[in-house]
Amino acid sequence: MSARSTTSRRAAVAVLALAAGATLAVREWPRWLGRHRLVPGGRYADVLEALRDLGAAARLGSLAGLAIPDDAAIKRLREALWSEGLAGLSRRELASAELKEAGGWVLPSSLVELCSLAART
Amino acid sequence: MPDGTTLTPDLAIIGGGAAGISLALALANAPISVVILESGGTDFDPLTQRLYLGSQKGVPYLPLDGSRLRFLGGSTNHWGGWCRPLEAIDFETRSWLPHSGWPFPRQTLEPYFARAQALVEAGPFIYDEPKRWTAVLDTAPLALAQGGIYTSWFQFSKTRGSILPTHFGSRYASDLQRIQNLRLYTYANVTGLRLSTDAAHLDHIDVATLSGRRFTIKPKYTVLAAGAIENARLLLASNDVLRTGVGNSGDCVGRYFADHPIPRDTATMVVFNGKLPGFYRDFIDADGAVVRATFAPNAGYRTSRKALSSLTTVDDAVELDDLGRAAIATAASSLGIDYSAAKAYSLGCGMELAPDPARRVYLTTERDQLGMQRLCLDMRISDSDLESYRASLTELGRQLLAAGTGMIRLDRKTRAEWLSVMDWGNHHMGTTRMHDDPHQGVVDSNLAVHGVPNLFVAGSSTFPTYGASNPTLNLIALTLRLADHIRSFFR
Repeated sequence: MSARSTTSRRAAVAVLALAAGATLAVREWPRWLGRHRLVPGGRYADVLEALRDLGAAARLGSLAGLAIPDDAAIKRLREALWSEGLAGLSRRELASAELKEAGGWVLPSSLVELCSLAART
Repeated sequence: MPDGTTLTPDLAIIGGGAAGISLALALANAPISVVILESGGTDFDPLTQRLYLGSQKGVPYLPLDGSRLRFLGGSTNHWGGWCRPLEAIDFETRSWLPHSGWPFPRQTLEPYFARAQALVEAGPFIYDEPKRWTAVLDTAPLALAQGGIYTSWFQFSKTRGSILPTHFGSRYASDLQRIQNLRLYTYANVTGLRLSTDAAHLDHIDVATLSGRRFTIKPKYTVLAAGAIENARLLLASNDVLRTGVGNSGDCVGRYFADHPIPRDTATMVVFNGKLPGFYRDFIDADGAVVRATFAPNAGYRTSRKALSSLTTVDDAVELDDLGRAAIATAASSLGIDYSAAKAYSLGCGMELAPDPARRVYLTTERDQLGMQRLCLDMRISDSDLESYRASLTELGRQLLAAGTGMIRLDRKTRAEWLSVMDWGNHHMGTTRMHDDPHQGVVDSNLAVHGVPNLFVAGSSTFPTYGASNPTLNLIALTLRLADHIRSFFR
């Protein structure tokens, strides 16, 4: 084996390692930043991670026929979940009467939005 | 009573129901000769009851001969005994609620509530003193987060030694008989309130029996206490001197009719830990009273949210559907609440209606057996009345969930959904409303008919704003105040 081919292999391995590292970094940076991590579940998986009972939320969203929030609302929801967590966010919304209905059930607004997203996973 | 007789008592009371009997009892020791004219006898008589028949239009409502009983004791012969005083805010003029407000505050009636409570035999007058109930019942009400809804209390009329509410006719007949200056005439139907030719005072009262006899009462003072529909009918039909009837210069007689809508299954309430205190669903004996809890909006909420009053009761236990189970699991788990023992209950309520002059009774061309014109009721309920109650339920749901106690599902949204479950309280009110301005009311703050100083009206027909409380206790308190006023004429 020549010295040149050895160098080429090392370079290729390094490129592959860098690519793998970059991919991992892109996927996992939120977890490293301590904010959230991605989970299986599609486009909204990061926010749905806040739910303790994803299945129930999905059933509620589906049975109640909830409309999916617009992108701006999802962005607000994501940011609020990052900063407050779902329990804190829900308590704040209950205190300030930011409420929505899901099949007639009176719930914190963000929880209803999460249910509508969960129904689409 | 021989045909053609004329009686000349100091006071004629038209109607032997809760108001008429309470007034007579309150004047028992006064130097006043009193006659009570009761249309019926001492028991139900279908022929007499038919005098109530009338027509109706608008939203579906109870038949006009259905909510009332035309014999001694009046509608207390079939009432449920639910008692609760009106709240201070019910008396207030609210800029956001047209036609609202009594001509005096609740404090004016305060001295009379205890005596009214004694007449309905509802035990000690406690109501909204939750600490007393909590101590007596050894259980605290459901925890609610700070907000607009609070646990309030009904007390119940209960004849001593019976499970039934006090039926004023049978309960007080012997007391009436013992009053020396009182004569009770049964089967005596008033067919006309006859004004003097100058319309300045009530001159005499025409009375007829179904057997064909007629006689006349010529009293110094008269109190009309025949119920909200008949009070208006008599004033409107007595139009021989004034074309519009008696006390109707402001075109208010018969208008502002009201009842309490009682929609069933308005909402479903879940209690996460399954521990609903019994006094929310059942009548509980406590400290000499029979009580039951209810959810009511407080004055601060009603003012800030421009809300009408309502009294929400917890009814039957219900099973939840898949959606309901999913909602509980989602909400409770998100807030870290154990819901493994959760139970659900349907909610009902009694709502207040906003005063509406178009909700009214008026004379028709049909006539009853005695020749009196029958009435038509134009019954209405506005969307805003329904929305106001729905908002109060939402607030209850918010407070339950914020406290970690439970949650609420609103079961009715559209007008059609509300009307499909609508029942009524049989609480006729408002047709001879009280207002110091004769253009806005029929009687003044002393219950004297405007322009006819010797004619008074007693009963819930004088309520200008209704609240959600059952009217009987309140109309009796108001009548006891009237008794003091009448007594002052004879000092």
